[in-house]
Amino acid sequence: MPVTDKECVRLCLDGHPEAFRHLVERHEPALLAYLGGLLRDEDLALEVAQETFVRSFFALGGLRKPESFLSWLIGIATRVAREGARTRRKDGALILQEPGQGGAGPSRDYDLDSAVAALPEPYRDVVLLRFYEGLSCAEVAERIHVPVGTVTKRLSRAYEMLRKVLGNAPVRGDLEVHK
Amino acid sequence: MKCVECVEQLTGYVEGLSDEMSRQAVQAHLDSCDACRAEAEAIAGLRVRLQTNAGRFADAGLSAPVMDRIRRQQAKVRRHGMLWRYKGRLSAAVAAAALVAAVVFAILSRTGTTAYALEQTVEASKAVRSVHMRQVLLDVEWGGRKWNMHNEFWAQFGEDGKPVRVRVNYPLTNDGHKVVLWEKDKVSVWMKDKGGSAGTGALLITPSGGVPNWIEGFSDPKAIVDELYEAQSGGKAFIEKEEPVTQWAPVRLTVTRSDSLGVRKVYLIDPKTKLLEQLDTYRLQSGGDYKLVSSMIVSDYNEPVDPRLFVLDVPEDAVRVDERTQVIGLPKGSLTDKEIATKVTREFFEALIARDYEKAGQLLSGTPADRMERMFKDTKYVRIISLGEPAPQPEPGVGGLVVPYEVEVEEGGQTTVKKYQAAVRPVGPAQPDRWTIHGGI
Repeated sequence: MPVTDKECVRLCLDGHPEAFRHLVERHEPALLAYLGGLLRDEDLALEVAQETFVRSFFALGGLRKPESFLSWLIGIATRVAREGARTRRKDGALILQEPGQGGAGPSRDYDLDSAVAALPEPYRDVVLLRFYEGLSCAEVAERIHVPVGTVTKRLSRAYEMLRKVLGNAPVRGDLEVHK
Repeated sequence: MKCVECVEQLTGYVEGLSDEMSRQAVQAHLDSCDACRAEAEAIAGLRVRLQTNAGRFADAGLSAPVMDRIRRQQAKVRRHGMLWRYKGRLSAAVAAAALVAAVVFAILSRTGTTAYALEQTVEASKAVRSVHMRQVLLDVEWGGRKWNMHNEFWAQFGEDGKPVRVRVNYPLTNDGHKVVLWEKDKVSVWMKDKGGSAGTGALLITPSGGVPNWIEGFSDPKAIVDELYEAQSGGKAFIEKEEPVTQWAPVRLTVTRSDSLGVRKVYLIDPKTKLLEQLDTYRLQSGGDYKLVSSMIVSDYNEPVDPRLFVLDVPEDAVRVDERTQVIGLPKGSLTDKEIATKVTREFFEALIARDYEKAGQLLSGTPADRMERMFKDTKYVRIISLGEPAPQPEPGVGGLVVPYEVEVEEGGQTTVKKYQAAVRPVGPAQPDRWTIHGGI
C-alpha cells in the first residue's frame, strides 16, 4: 500500500471514503492485538474494533495529526472498550481488564497482548508497527517521523518493559557489574 | 565492549541495523559473555513470541463490514441532515404539534404497542405538504441483463393532505428515459427517447384518473402509512417493532402481510418526527432467505419544491399526443385480443402503403399526420408480405401483444423486406376499448 495514513485521511476528507479501507486493513492487526490485550475476548475485540473504525471514520475531521493515526485510533478503541465494559458490567458479562493484568486464554497469548497494550504510547506504537503491522525499523521511523535510532531505542526499552511484565526480565545490576 | 554498551546495541544488532564494526564488536562480546548472550537470547525469544502472536491478527477481515457500516451510516446521516433542515423550516404551529406528538409518542411507545407508533406516524404525516423520495429497484431483469433502477419522486400536497402534483423520473424504462407528471386534471408522460426515427421525444397526455396509483412503485408516504395502519387494524399485517437503540436510530417495523405472503416490508420511522424515512421490500427466495428487492428512501419532507419540476421541458418539435382530445387506434368491439392486434397492424401498414399519414398516425399512438409524413415519406411501403400469429408482449410490465410482420419497402431506390414485430396494446384509461400500435415499427 503506497499511500500513507496522512494521504488516506486526506482522501477520506476529500470525499473518497473508500480510501478508509486501506487504513482498516493496515491497522486492524495492531488494533486487534491491543484490544485482545485489553478485553481478553477475541470476539469482543473484533466487535469493538469494528465499532472503533466506524467511529473513527466519522471523527476524521477532528484528527489533528494524521501521521499519528494509530495512536488516535487506539484512544478511540480504549473509549469504545470502556463503554462496552460499562454496558456489559450491568449484566455481569464482562469486566474490562486493566492493561497488564494476567489471565491468559488457552491458545491466545493474551498476556503478551495485555503487556503490549499497557506499554506507554511511544513504546506501544513502535511494537505494534514493527510486529503487528510488519514494518521494518526504517519504515516505522518514517511512519512516526523519528530517526531510526530512536525506533531501536524505543524497541529496546519496550522489550525491557515487556519482559518485566511477562517474566524473564533483564537483571540490569548483574550486567553492570559483570564486566 | 562493556556489557552496558552491548545491551544498548542489542536491538540494533538483532534487527540487522548495526554497521559492520558494531556488529563484530557485539558478536565478539556475546561470544565471551554468558549474561549478555542470555540477554540477546531473551530478546530474540520475545521477538519470536511477538511475531507469532502478530500472525493471529492477520486477515481478520474487518474492512468489508466496516466499509459497509460506514456506507449505511453515511446514507443515514444524509437523511437526518435533511430532516434537521426540514425541522428548521416548520411553522410554529406545526412544530408545536410535532412536539406534542413526540411527547405522546415517547410515552405510548414505552407500552411497546405497535399501533401507537403507527398512529403517531399517521398523525405526523398529516403535516406533510411536500416530499422528495428516491427509489432503487434491485436486480430488475430487463433485456437479458439485471439492472438497478433508480427512480425519483416529488409530490406536493394540498391542505387536505391529498396530492396536488406529482413528478416521477424513471431513467430506465421500456420507453427509455421517462418523466411522468401527474396533476389533478391530466397526466403528462414525457419520453425523450421516443418520437420515431427523428428521436425528438414524445409527450403523451392522458386524463387524470384520481390518485396516481398507476405511478408504479411509488405512493406518497401518507398513503403507505395509512395502508399499513388499515392492514394492521384489519388483522392482515403482522408487525414486529424494534425500538431505536440510539437517539438517531429509526423505529423499525417489520411487516408480514397475510394477503401477500413471501413479501416482507421493513418500515423505518424517524423516532423524532415520526415520519417514514425508508421502506425496504424483501421477497422470499427459494432457499428460504429474504432478499432486498427495492428500497424507497425519503430524502426530505416539506422542503420547498422548485416549481420548474412540475413543468415539463418539451421541445417544440416533439411528438405530442393528447388522448383526452384525439381518437387513437381502433375499437376492439367483439374481436379477440389477437384479432384486434392483427387488425390494427394490418390497417396501419395499409395506411402507410396508401400514404394516408393521418390514419397511420391515428393507429400509431395518435402520432400527428405531419410528423408521420416526416417520419415515413422517404420510405415507400409496397405491400404486406405476411402478418404472423400475435404473441404476448415479452417485456414484463408492458402488456398487450406483438404481431410479427414482413413488409416490402423501397428505400433509396432499393427494395428490401422489413421484418419485425409490431407492439399493440389498449390505448389506456381514456379510451379503454381501443387498441393502438405503440412500438416495433
